Amino acid sequence: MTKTMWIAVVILFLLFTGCGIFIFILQQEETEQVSQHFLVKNRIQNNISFQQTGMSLTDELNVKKATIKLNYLPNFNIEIDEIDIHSYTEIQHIASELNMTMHHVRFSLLNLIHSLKIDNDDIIFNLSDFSPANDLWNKPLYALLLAGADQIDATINIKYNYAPLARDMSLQITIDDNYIGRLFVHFKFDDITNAKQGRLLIALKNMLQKNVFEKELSSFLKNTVVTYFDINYVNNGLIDGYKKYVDSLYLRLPGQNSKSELSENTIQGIVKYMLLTNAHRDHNTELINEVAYFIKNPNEITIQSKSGKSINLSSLSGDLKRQLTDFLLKMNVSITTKKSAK
Amino acid sequence: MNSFFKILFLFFLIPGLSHAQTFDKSKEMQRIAYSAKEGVEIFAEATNGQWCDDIPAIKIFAQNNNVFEAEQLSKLTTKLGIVLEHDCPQAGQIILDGYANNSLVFQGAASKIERWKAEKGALKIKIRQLQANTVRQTTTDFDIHHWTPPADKQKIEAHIDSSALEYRLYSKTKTCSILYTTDKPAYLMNKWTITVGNNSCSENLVYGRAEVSVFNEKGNFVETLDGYFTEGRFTGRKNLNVVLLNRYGQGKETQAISYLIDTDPELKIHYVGFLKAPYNAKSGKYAHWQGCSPFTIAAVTENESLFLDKQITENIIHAAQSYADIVCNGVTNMNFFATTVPQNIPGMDIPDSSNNEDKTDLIFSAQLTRKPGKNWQIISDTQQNLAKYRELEHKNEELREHQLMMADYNELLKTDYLGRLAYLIGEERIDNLQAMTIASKITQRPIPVNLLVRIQSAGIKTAVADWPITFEIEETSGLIIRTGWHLISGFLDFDNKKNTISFKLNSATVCDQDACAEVSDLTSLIRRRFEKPNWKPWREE
Repeated sequence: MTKTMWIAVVILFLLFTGCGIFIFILQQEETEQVSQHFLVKNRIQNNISFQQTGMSLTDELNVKKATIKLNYLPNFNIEIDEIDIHSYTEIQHIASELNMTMHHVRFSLLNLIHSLKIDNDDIIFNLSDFSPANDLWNKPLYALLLAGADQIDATINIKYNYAPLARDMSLQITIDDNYIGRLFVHFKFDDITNAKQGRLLIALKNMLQKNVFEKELSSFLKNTVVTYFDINYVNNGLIDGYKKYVDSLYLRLPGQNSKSELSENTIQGIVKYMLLTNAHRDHNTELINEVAYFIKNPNEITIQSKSGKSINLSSLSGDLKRQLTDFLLKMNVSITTKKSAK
Repeated sequence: MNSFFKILFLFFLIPGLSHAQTFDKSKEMQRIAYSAKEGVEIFAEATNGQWCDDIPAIKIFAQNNNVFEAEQLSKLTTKLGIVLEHDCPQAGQIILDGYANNSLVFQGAASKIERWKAEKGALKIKIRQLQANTVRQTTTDFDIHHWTPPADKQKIEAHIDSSALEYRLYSKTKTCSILYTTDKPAYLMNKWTITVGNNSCSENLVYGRAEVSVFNEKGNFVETLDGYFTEGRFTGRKNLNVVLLNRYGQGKETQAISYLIDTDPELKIHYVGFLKAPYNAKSGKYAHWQGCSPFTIAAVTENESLFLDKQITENIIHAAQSYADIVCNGVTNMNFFATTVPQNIPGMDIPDSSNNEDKTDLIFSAQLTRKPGKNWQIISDTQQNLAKYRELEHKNEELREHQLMMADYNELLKTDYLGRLAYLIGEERIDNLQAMTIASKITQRPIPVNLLVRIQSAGIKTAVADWPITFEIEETSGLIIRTGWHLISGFLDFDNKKNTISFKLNSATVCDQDACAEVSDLTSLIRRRFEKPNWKPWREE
């Protein structure tokens, strides 16, 4: 190649490079503008901040060093290393599709309790009076702490699909944490109107801003039909930590069985409780045996509804335990655990 | 057959027909003789069907009092002796209780050596028998607080209180002296002298019958003390041959002194009498020492339980009555006290002006009177049995405590294991180490906790627990001296920088069983908490 040709190649390279840089800067400005526009439009610009945005070949948007602030907990931040918006679609200004992954969602549960400004004596009382069975749902924050999780560092993937015309919604969330483990939850809803979908978004927004979201969430759940659900959990130490706490609480001595495992009497008691909803004693026993196996050998458990089953959430009545039992049994769930040599 | 042989015949034959009768819940009596003619039945106290002993206890039941007149009774006991020597050769003495129309009218004894002649009194043997168990139950030695007379009753020097208005007056030759009671100043009394007639001195003090003239500092005659002296003290017409003990000064009005009457090492009782010297304002002098108007006697003992039994109390008072006859024959008024110390009891050695119920030293008090030739009677409303009063109070206290313990017992029936552990150490709860570690993490301060732990190694300054987790216990200060299960209280602190816990110990309770499983036994748990090793809940009683 001649000298002139070399010069031409270099000039072209510089030209392309310059154009690339120019395009990148333009793109960055545009994505940042789009992102800010999105936050302002939804009035959450004070709750979510970030240092840098960009685009990759596969994703629509990439955000680095994001911080989530809750209005009602001014001293508490959730730090996120990176957010990938894989896809986002709106139909007539209604969010119809979202697929995003948040990498290293980090916050301290101890800081969270500090931010809640609970009186020290109340903290001591809540911890000393903690009931391992009942307070697992009532005081989840304390339950996590007692199980040994005081720092969250998770990767969270959210897949959301909504078809306004068909009124179908699918919500899929995967949380993966080094200690808590991997939790996958997939729900499909039917009969979701635009107004209901709006209630769900308002509930999420209120979570950030007001800490009052029960009303909107209830409105969303009212007469909502669940057509499918699938929950999969892979333990990574959380269950073992909680079992250790329960064992120490009930003075498990060396050589004794774990006090947290379900005894035959307890299993029969739960089966009896389930008979009120489902008369199939053997099936109920199988389900509870799987749960008992998982508690004894906490590895992986999957709870999945049977295809073709659906339930209107407003048809459930009684306390939370009763509603949950009815929900699972009416959805004709199957429970499977991963049998391992652990 | 003359009448004597008829009676003797009856005495010899009737024993074969004798039969056991119930005396009280714990004792039985066996009839060993009777005389239909005399209207007399004679029983012996038996234990497990055996009545023969070295000193059998005999009860004579008669239809009237005449049988117990000295002459009649001696005839009867002499005949009884013949029966005893045949049926119970080992008997050397007998204790006699005489009943007329089922009322106790005579107490006494008889011995083989004295040809079975009945003697009134002589109650010690009886008391010893009745009280054998009670005495055995006491753990203290024969010791009375502040003072112990010698068991052999040898002469002891009286202790003279510094406030006693008493001076030693010597004869001019200093060969003899008396102890003279007066309120005059000491510097004058040093110059007073005596002359002694009709007497020889012992140990430089006038003893026995004497005529002592007292002269003042100017050599002027003051008075003549004509009568008896005991250890240099003038007792007037009373020849009181006793061992004087403590000389008290109780103010100008009355001076007092105690003396040892008798010592009963078997029952652990010292019998102490009291003399008084009252001040005569008109003459400006003190009267001679006197102790028979009334006769005042104290049974000094630490064995308060003696006075919880009516029979034993009566026997001790009978002993006091015997001493009244010995010391003050014919006296008709007597003050009796039972105390743990022989001094400072109102009415006994100090003026009777305060309520004795508050006196913890006093066990029993009573005023007795009798008409000449009649039995002593306790004047109504003068008897105070503080031993029983305290026993009643103690029982009430025990009842209250029992009710508290029962309340705890019923509460514990509904309490879980941790609650019982907490009860054992008197705390509200037993904490979970994991939960309290998190509490310390959050609050960033030491948390007061009570924990169940298993100690792996114990030391003076530190100890190491290996359950529920392995951690070090600091500042043990010798409170944990052995390995094994303990309930510990102290401060738990989480060090966020080192990511470790520290525990500073306040108290520790050692357990006997794994995980302190002894708390499952509620009865034992409450016994341990209240330190009542024999307590039983009502349902077990």
